Amino acid sequence: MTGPALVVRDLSVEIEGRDGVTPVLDGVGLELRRGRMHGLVGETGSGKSMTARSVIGLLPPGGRVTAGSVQLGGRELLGLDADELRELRGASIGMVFQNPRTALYPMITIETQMANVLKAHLDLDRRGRAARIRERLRLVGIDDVDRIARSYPHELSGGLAQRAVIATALLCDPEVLIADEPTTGLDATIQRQILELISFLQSELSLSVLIITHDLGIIAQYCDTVSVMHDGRVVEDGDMRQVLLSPQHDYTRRLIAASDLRGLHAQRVQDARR
Amino acid sequence: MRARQWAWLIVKRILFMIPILFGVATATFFLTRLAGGDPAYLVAGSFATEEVIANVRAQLGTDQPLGAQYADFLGDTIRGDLGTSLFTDRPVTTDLADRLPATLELVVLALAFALVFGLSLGSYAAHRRGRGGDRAVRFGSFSALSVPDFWLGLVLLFVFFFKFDIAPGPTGQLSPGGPAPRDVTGAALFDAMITLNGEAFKASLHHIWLPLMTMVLIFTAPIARLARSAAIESLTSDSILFGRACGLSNRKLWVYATRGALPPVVTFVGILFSVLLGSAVLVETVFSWGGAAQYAVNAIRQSDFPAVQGFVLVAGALSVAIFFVVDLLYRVIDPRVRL
Repeated sequence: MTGPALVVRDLSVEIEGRDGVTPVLDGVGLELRRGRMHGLVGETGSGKSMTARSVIGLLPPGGRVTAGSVQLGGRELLGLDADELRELRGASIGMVFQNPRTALYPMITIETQMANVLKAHLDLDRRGRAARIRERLRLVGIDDVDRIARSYPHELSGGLAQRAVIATALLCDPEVLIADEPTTGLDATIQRQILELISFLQSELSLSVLIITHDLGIIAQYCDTVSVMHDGRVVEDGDMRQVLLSPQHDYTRRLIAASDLRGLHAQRVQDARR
Repeated sequence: MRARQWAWLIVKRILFMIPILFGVATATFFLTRLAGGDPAYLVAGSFATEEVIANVRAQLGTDQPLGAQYADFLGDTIRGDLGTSLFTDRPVTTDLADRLPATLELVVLALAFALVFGLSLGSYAAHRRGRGGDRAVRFGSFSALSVPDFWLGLVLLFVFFFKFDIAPGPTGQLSPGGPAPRDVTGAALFDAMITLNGEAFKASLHHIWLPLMTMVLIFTAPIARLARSAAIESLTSDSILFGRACGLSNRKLWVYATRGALPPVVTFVGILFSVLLGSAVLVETVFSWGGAAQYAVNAIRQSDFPAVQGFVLVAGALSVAIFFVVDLLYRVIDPRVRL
């Protein structure tokens, strides 16, 4: 299979609230190639998260897709029924959210909640689940797997919690990982570790990663391709360097002007010298 | 390790109860005295001479200085002696033991029904948030919250007994001369049940539904409101969204959400139990239920110090015991609460 892992075309979404219907996405399109990292960048409210949530069929209450198509490995997702979508989530697409400490369910141990996810998708016995859980925890860089597995979420630091979240999202070997602002709630040093981890997992598992962020620095450092969103539309997309180094759209230029991209520019100077 | 932590927690909590009960006993003692009234006049009757009254005072011990009375009271209470009721002339402990089951029957049943209705209505409203069903529940619970319980009791009596005659009059747990169960605990419905007396069961059911409805109608409201907000918070939480994104089944998510909403509800039920005891005082009086709460009201009217003290002390002990259970339950439900 050589087609892209995830293709979104002409996606329009609206939310029906108390004050009537608000359009939130207007003809959004993006393409995530296999084994690559695609960045979705834009300010709060530009529709990044809404795009991700349409992909996995988890729009907030009142949300409705009015047009478009979402294809995962060539399979159309819009129009699938609730059960088909549920089977897909976790098994084919993993998703990681902003705040790891609230994403984990507080009342039970890491092992129990990871086992619940495994039970929802795979037919493993108790021992098989325990082995799988420990293998995934080790994969995300946790050494003390037994202790962490027995811990409750509140006993973990932010960084450890996000590792556990990522391990949970990857339990059933999805081809696509959507990371919605995965480092926003974390300390600066931990942010870097988590991004390095996602980047490592992407190459280790040949994952296709859609990373959502408002931080162009993250895009510049980790992504292969990028889509810039503004006001519910994709205003510019393509190869990361091309977009960031020679932006065509005014909004992209403003976004770049407001960010610190010294790393990228230093690299450009280096490239030019070569 | 964990077992030892639990044991220590339980011991600690029980030790904590001692100063609380001591405080309740002290407050009860002085508040009854503050209320004024001299029981000696009541015991001796309105035409008694000064001499007789002085004798009665000496008998009751009310001629002693307050400090000595207090010391006596504490000593007796620790030995489990709550004194003798001035009105019934029986030990207060016996009086209460006879009447408390009837009160508890009413309160526990009211709490159980209010919980079932409140939790269902609350989660239904959370599910239909912002839509018609939700608005109906919110309006209904708001109205119920603004109704005083004794007034509602009187209105229900008026409508169902006086107007439509489908409920019995306020004659207590049973009709005089009607079928009655063998007296085991003093709670008619319960006694009828354990003695398998069908006739008496029907009769006591017929009598309990109106006072029960009074309390259930009023206490469903706050539970429904709390359950609604707890369920909304739980359902919209990040962990439910993440669980969904991991493909958990709706049943599993429902279990997650319910467990997440439990802690505030459990805490509230603990508080509600004490409030219900207070409400029972009024509802029992309206329906002449003959339970401990009505006994307490009569005791207050008759300046029956020992009886008032006994009831308040027992009610306080019950509340403290309920809080003890709530505290433990809370820790079972939520691991974030430290042992």
